[in-house]
Amino acid sequence: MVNSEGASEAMTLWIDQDRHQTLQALTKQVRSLELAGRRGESGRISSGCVEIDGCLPGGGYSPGSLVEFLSDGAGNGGQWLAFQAAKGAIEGGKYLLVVDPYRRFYPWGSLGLGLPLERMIVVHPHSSSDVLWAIDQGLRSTAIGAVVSSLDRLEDRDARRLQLAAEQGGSLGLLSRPSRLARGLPSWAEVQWHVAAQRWKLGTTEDRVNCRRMELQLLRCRGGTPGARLKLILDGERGGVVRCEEVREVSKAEGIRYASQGAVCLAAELAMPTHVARGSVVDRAPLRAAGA
Amino acid sequence: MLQGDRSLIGRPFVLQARDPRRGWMVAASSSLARESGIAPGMSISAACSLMLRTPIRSQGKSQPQRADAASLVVLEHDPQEDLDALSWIADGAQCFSPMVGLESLGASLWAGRSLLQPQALCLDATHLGPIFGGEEAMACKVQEWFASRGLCSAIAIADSVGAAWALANYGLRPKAASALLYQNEHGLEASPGMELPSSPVAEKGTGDGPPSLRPIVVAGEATRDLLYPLPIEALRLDLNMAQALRRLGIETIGTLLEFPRGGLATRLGEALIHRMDQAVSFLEEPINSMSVAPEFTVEFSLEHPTDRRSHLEEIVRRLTADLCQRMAGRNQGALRIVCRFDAVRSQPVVLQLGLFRATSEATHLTSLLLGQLEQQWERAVEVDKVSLQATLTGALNWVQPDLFELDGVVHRDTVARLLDRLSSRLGRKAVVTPSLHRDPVPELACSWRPLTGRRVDGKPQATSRKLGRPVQAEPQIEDPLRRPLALLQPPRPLEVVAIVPDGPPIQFRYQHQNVQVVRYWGPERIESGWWRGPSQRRDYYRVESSDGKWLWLFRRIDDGRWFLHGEFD
Repeated sequence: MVNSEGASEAMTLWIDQDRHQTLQALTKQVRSLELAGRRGESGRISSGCVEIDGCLPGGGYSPGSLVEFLSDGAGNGGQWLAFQAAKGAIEGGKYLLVVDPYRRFYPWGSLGLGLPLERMIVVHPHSSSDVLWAIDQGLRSTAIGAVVSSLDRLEDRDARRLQLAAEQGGSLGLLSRPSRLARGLPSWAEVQWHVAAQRWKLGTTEDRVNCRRMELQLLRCRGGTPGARLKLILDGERGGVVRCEEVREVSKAEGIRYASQGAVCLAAELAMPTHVARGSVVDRAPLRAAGA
Repeated sequence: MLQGDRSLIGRPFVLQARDPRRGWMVAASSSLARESGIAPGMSISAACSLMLRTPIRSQGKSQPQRADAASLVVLEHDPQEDLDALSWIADGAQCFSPMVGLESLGASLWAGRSLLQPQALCLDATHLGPIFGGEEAMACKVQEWFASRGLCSAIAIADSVGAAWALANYGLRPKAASALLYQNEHGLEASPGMELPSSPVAEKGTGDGPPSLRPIVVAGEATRDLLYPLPIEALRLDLNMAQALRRLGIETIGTLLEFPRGGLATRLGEALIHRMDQAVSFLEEPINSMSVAPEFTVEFSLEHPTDRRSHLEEIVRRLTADLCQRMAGRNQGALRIVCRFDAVRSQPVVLQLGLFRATSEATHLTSLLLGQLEQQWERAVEVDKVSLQATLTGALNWVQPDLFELDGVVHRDTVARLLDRLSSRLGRKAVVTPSLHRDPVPELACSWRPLTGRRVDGKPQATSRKLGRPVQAEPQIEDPLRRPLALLQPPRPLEVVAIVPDGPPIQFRYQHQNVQVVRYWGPERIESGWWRGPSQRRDYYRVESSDGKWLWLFRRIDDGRWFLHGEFD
């Protein structure tokens, strides 16, 4: 009996190991497919924080892609992260386009980031169609490094249009969106973050220090592993740098949950004609079926 | 101003400008502010004290209310923006006359004016009356054209520039004041001056509608009868001259004309006689025409009128190619373009383009014009003539880049095209760049400058250099997290609980929820100087709520009310 129990345990272990290996192999394949046609690490745009870059494949945002920052309500700090990424994207003399339909953007607030105002273009569109058109035009232009905007509702077709525009112009689209309208829904964004402000731990000696906390969760990442959580400190005392307190890798349970959402990512990925080589659609068909 | 900011409707507002000797002065005042006695040329502090003393009429209330200083809105005056706006109108007004110009100014300020800059347009209407069905009809059409742009206009047609200027500026002044007051109180929806001469004229006070500003059209001897009762300032006299005349007891033009010319010339100078002749004796005066050089105007007349857009688009293509070829030949590029489609039975369709950089590239200009045509082409109009003018041109300069600026040069052309496209569709004022000022009041510390349709001299200055960062080691407002990324305009009132009356906030109600404050920074007292107008005294707090959100609140010191002014997004 002992032998048979031992054999069954070994068998279970072997099956577990086998499943693990299979999953690893499959994940690797999916990742390599997702990253097909993408630029190497040299073309990546830094988010301004090493730990955030570490969660992204290639160590940064990919030029010509959309990044979404989802948050619940205002005052969470998502825009700060967006502008910080924009700073990296406009290096080399490119321009920053801020599409601000609600006329709320206050440039004094962005001075701390060191953004050059002489290369900042602000657009105040009057209608939602004009907002989309302005973002689209900005993303298509090769002179624009990044487009920062806030969007509420975004139809799939419009999102696809923006994503194609970003691909064409090589600009980075940084969109702030309300969590209730975007979370858990299919997205054309290459990276989707959830930003939540965090209360400062009182009772420390640094209670009055000009810093704030926020938690960042990677909801979607093309070619990467979603689910990572980062606890960040936005340090106003040290030039507004973003420090990372803690990085929590994705747990097993969360990994399964996020893996189940893989269909959403794949759907978005498969509809990327510029990255799909001719003739490879047939090869991907089983993957699509498996993913769905 | 009312077009840009609807919050100004029903509120008195003034524009302030800095006088090198007298400090901050009122450059222009809205009609509601004028009702309180605030006139251009007054110091801002005097305007504030007047505002405190005078009861003002408030919209929808029959009883006058006592105003507080905070009800007066003080905004920065931008002379360049004024000039741009006037030039923009002059460009468009060329559909009425081939000769449109800004008024020519004297060496010093005229009596009755507070600013040494053009404020009126002159149109040469000689022999143009029959085209519009008479000079009265022409004046009414011009007025309708202004009204369609949300502008209130005072128009006079007379035998000389001097007479027309006097009648438009002083003959229509009481009515213009009431029309502007109506706009200030009710906004621009019901613009005054829409009534044609044949319709019954609604005089001021007869109803709730806007008062009419019927144009004055006069010729010959009748002009003198209208000019005699006008004040002497209507002659465009220097301030000193007007004061001298008033000291002599000469108040009106009629009284002045009773004196012998020889005596006036020897005692008060030739300039007075010259001005009198310009107004009363119809002395010819040149108009500084803004119309473009004839080589930068191209036209296409159709034998048979057409309403097919495809045909018109083809015409626009050809005209643009022709215009660009002419401009390139003289090393010029267009900065502003006006394209006019003259219709047989209706108003002409006018397209106006502003460009970021002077360009003579036909495909780019064509795409912009066709894009705008698509937007404005609401219904079929039978067009019999298409004309295209480059109303502002600039040299097609190639600036040698700095050694370390090569990257920027690569993107400069591309971004110029993008800006042209954006501003063509969204409007010139919707595509802007921020301009920061060191003003303690947050909403006045930033203004927006349109990027297209103006000549830019030199290179844009780097932000850090422009602001001239102070050397103190104290925290500055440009330090990270000192100012929010989103500013709410106007600030939203909040219900706040504070333990001590002047103390920091403990709890406030925001978005239907009670929010606890766990940390705060402040108060940062922001106080506008007494010379800047109604005193703005606020205590700002950056607060962190129990869920970690950062907001920017302030307490108005005058009445202790709390407002939310920004979000650290």
